Amino acid sequence: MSPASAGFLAFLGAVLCLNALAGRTDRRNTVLLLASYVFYAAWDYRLLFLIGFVTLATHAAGGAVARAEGRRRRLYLGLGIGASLGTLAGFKYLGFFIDGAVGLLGLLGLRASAPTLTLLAPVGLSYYSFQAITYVIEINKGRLEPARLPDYALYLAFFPKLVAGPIERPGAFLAQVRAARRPVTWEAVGSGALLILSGLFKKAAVADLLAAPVARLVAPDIPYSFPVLLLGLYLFALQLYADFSGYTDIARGAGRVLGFELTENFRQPYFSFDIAAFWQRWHISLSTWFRDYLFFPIGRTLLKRFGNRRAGAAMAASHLVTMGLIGLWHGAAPGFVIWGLLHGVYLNVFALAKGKPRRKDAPKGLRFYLGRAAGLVVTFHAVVFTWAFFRDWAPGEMGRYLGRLLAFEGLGEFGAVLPALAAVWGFIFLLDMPALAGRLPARVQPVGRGLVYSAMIVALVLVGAAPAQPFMYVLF
Amino acid sequence: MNKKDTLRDFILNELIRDPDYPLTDDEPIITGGLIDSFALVQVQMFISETFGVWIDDTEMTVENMDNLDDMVKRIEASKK
Repeated sequence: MSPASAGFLAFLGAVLCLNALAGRTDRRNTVLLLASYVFYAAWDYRLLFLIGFVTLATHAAGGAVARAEGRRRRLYLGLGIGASLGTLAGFKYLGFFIDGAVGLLGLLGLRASAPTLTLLAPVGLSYYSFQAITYVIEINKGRLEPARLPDYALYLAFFPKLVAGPIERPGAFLAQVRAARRPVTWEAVGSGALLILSGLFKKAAVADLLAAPVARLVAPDIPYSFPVLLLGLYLFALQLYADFSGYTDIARGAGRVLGFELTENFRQPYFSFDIAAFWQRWHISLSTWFRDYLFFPIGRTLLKRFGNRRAGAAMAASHLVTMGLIGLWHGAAPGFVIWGLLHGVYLNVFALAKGKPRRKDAPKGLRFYLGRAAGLVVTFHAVVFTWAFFRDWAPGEMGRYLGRLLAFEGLGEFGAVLPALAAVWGFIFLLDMPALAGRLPARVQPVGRGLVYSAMIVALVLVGAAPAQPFMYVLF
Repeated sequence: MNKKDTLRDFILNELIRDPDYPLTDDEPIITGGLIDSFALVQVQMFISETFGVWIDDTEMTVENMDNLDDMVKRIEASKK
């Protein structure tokens, strides 16, 4: 059941009514848990066994961690993380690592063969397995009390965020589950509905419409000129952003109408002046997860081992490991890992190239604004280039595509393609209009927001007939 | 030297490497782009070694640590 379908909206409406009728919070939680399992079963009923296993195993581990001390506590922590991570690895990465091992043996001159193992990553597993890991870690750190099983089950399964996040932290989410009162207000339903409208617009009127041109232009074997290939990547960048931020808007809107506030995942990422800022604005719930549970501990360990004098090397290693694993999280394919590592390289280059900070009270002259514009353009194109790796390429396709892209052929066609490239920037601006309208002066804000949402409805009516595509981040 | 000045001294000399930078108490350090995520780890370790206060990774956020005033507030809160 795609969150951008009429079926989902009808389902959400029914759950909204049942949630309101249930009255007390504990009854509402039961309604929401059952609805979440119905939603998940609608994708594939066998998925219920998987989420059931992860829920029971990590809930039991969390309780055991809270009760135990010393080595036993570490053992239960390891078992809890292992149950979740092992399930994820088994379904998503086994084939990737077997292929890698066979390739490595081949490089060493040893012939090996293994059956090709292609298990489809179960929908949502990448998201709720990380939330389950967080639950056990937070209990081990003493920052979280073990939750009741039904509350914990709802934390993992809450259907608006089940299949593509945001990756919620247990403390904040469970506090909302346990709240004595969780009234459904007209204000929350209204603003949630607007978020859903924004998500539907991004998905149906932008991302789905771009699916066909992107498939044609980001292709390995058609001899397009460099400007046309660049346009393809521009469109892919726009499609990805519209698709994923559209999903997040629908998830947050659906959560809000049911009385839950979910984490913000995007803050106009393509309007970042540097790559570090981009990562503070793109897929925020994932990047902060990796920052808190991997980047900080790795950095601290390296600093303790090598001291502040080697801080630069420690930073470089922390960036590369973290970003490589963020890439791997997206999918068991070399392209995703390269994508992540490339961002790690960018972050290191940026950190090294960054000069002394500009004084806060220094006058903002032409040079300042030119610098900001250059930062925006360079960051955008650096990110756009990485999207060339961020596809489920068949063997050999990525190399052929990059060969064409980096040959820089047909530069003379830039003039003809330039208006289309500029139009993509315009569309990116349009996608961020709801957030930007919120920054207008209070006096004109209602008019601004009214115009933005009316335009979205008109766009949906006009182009809503584009063939529906699955959400891209659901596949991760 | 009080906590705020000790922190200011560390940030200017070890992280920004510009001792003459006029860092004010309420100036955004993270969102203002003066330090990055890795430097936050260095701040965390410095606070632990100098003031004997441990601030958890999940609390090393913009909300808690974006300027000297917030950092000192966080240190005082963690002491209680």
